[in-house]
Amino acid sequence: MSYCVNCGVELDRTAACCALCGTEVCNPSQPVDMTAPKPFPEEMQPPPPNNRPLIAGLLAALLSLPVLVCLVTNLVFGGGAWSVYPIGGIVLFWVLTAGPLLSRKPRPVPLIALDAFAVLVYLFVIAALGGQGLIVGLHWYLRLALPIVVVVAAATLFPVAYLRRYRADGLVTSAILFVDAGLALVGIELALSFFAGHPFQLSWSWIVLISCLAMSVALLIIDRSPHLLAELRRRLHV
Amino acid sequence: MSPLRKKSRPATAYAEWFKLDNAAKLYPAIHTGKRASMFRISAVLAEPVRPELLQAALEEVLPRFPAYAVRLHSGLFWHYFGHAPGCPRVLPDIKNPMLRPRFREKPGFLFRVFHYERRIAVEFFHALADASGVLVFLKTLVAAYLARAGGPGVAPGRLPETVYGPGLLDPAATPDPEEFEDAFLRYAHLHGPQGYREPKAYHFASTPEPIHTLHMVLGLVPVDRLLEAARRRKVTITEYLAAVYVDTLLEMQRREREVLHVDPRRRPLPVRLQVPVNLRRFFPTKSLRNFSFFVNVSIDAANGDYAFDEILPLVHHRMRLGLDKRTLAASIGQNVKPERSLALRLTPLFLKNLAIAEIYRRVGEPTSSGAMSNLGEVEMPPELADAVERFEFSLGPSFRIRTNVAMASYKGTLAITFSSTCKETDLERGFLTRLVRDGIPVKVESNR
Ligand SMILES: [Zn+2]
Repeated sequence: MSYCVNCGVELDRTAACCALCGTEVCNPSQPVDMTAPKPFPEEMQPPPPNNRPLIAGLLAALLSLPVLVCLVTNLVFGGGAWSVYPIGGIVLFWVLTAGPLLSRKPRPVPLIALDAFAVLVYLFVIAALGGQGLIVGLHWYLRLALPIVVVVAAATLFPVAYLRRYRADGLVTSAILFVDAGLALVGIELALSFFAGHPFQLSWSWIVLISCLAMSVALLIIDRSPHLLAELRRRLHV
Repeated sequence: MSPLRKKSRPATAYAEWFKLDNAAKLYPAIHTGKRASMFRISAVLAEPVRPELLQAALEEVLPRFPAYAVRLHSGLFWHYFGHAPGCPRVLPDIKNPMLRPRFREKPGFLFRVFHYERRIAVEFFHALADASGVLVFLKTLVAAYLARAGGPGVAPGRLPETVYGPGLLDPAATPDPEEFEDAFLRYAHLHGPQGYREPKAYHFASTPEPIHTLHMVLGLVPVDRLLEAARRRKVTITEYLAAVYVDTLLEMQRREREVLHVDPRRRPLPVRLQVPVNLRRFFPTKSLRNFSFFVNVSIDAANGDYAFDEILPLVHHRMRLGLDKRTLAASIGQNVKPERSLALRLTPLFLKNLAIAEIYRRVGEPTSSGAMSNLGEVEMPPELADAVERFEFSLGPSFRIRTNVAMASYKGTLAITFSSTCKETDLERGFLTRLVRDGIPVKVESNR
């Protein structure tokens, strides 16, 4: 019989290395038995088939029906390229739902980025094909749609990425979300101010931001002081 | 009231349906698409197992255990078990045991029977039964198999009547309705004190393996040497091993804090071990379903660095305190109470499931560092004792807890099984090398 020189436990004669520490077995008087059956079976049962790609495909098939109807109606009866809007909307819906279905592991950060990108593409198509021509379309696309989508996407991405990396409890999470929401609103008002022609004039969002900051500072203080937390639990328990 | 309670029903008939017992109600609510609470008990025989004879033995034995020939159904307010016709196939054993049952697929049995070389293993969804109930099933199955295959000291043919008893049932006898009993309801004491919230417990840092992996490390330990070590310190074997487990986790936390440069002002977390207790020891019942509870053994690492000899008396006394019969009855009462509230009973099942899963996610696993379940000494009738070499007991994967420990002893050998879903082996190594350092020889087998 062989022992692990590192752990001092006796090993099975079929073991080539120690299961506890990985040290290789080196015993000239009793080489590893390669023919005897192992103590546990070697065969893995494969995981059950993943049917989520199937659901995504089924969804695509179902959605292709209205797409086809729109396309055919548009081609037969004319009336400009109106079918681009519903078809674009349907494709966007598919991208938003199929993303989580097709990714094997929960990967919210790239998925949110992908969703924001898809929304931007759809809005660009609307802007480019809009009635008032490309110049007007690009004007609101670049000044309004693009910044707002980017701000909202960033405001969603930041807390998701941060909270996945660093675990935080309920109070800290709420504090982060408050600051994040305040900043997002400031970003949106900034974009609006550019679009309206008087840049950097903030009228309401800074009030929201200050209240959000105050709220999150309060939450962080509560989080840091166990006495206060216990007192609040006692007074506010349900 | 389930139809089982009605006296008019002949005891031989299958129950068309019956309710989940009080403890079982948790498990269907917390299972996920990937994991469910499973456990496994195996018997290692003296000779290789013949699958076709094992299949025949299972077909003979299963009708004697109608409580296990069921599948899980969803009602409007509760889950329930309905009779599943037929008999599951005996399967060749696999490297990644304790996969979740396929609830929706027919026939939908909630247990599986495996064979590998000399081993017969049964795996159960915890909602069906606890380990003590399943041990009766496994022993009865092994006896029926040996009656066909024979073995050292056993001639093939009908076994003598003397082998049968409460721990090993006669497959030809009619099932006793008491074997179906939800004994929690019978013994619950409803006027106990209210429960209180436990603080979060330490979970060691680890690298998770893909979801369908389960590493098993089996440590075989001579019981006499273990008993000697435990007696020297005036504790029982379970208490001694629980202390070894706690000591290992405390040291892992110390080392982790050093390596990860944790801010020393942050309090170390308590190490809390769940030690299941077979309630049949205290409250007699023939129930083959769930009837166990657990004692929490916890050491607060924030109090400073405990030496092993300081941990031992704490573990010893905490376990003894937890084993007070009236405290146990009151704790059962705490669990039974919600089941009696009309408002809760009228809540639709899916809401109940969400609520139970959320409570479990918050206060179930986060408040415990791990489980150590000791099935105790397994006994076989003397006629069959030589044909069985060893019994093994292992717990399936939990959700947040990475490594669980379970054990069973037979004929002087304690088989300790670590089942783990992470890459690291620090807990296994820390636990088993502590035994080696204490002069107890350990033999290790593994699927790693
Ligand atoms: Zn080793």
